[in-house]
Amino acid sequence: MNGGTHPDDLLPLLANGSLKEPELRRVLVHIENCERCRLEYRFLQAVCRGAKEKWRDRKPDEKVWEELQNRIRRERIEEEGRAGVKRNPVWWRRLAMAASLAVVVEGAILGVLFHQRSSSPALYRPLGEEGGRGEVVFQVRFRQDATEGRIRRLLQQAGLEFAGGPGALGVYRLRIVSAKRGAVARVRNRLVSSDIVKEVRGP
Amino acid sequence: MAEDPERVLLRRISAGDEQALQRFYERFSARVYRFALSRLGVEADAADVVNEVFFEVWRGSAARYQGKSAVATWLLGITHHKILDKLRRRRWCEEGGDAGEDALDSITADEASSLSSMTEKAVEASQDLDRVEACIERLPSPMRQVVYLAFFEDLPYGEIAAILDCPEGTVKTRIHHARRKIKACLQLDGLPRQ
Repeated sequence: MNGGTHPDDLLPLLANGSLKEPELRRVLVHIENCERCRLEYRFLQAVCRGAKEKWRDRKPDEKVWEELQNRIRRERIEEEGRAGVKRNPVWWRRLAMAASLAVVVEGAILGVLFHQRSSSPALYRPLGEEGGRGEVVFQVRFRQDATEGRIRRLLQQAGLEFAGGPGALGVYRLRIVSAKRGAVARVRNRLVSSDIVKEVRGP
Repeated sequence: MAEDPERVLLRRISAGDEQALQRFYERFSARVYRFALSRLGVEADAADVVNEVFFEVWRGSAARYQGKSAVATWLLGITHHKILDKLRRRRWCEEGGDAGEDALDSITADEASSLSSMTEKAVEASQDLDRVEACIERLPSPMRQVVYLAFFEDLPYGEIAAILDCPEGTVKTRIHHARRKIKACLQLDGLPRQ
């Protein structure tokens, strides 16, 4: 109401038909006797007609529905894709378990192989260390001018045989053929005194 | 008592029935579109809002409808929020409307009185519906939106307030200001058209 005299707030509702009793009867009685409100009511009726005229024929293009359908289909395909992964989690879990198992088995195999090879006397042996079968090995570097013939002769005289080499630094691994008591010192002395031997490492 | 067919449609939509969505769309898309257009003023933007609203209904809003209000009121409420999202994206968040209301609020009592006296001429001018339409179009968009809900949708204040998620007093104020603006517009453009 405007100043408690005119039902200004109710007139739009009277014009749009949403005014209910008991206000409806009260406002109708009022405008019957109030020129101002009658005019206002006529004005609001015109606004109602104008609004209806303005928006009545407006509606969305048919493409809007097509776009909506396409959007829903895209969404559905994406959801099905996501749901497919969720619905069948065993698939990737099994794959992950198989991969883990493969890693464990591979590790075990490598471990066994490493253990076997590291316990093998041919794989690695410190300089001069006695072999697993009672062998004694020297590491020897010969002079550059030592011929193969002279080296063979020295090995025969000292009771040695090739166990490996030469390595990247020209080191030969030589094994005592028969490790009798006291042979190690004798062989070592023979090697050290030879003029074709540059360096001897061993017991 | 038979269940409201619109609520039945919503239940079917929430169960993934695309045909139900189509029927719901056919029933309400024009209202959603007009409402969006009344605020946004751009057909392409209103169409975007229609798409957003019905997609949201499809994605889960239908299942969340609690029946506290009429289906149309609930749907136009969703539309209102989508319109606001659109306005935010357009950085028009506080454009026109509120500023317009502030300007009208600052009108003095004398000015209001003189506006009131405009009614007779406005009534005369308002018989030309084209002019009324033009004056509605010139309203700040939040006022135009309320005019749409009150005078096209024929909704009472309570439902308009529910749709716009604001107090009833705000709705009344906006309608009041819109009436005065339209009257002023009709008087300014009161010369006969050539």
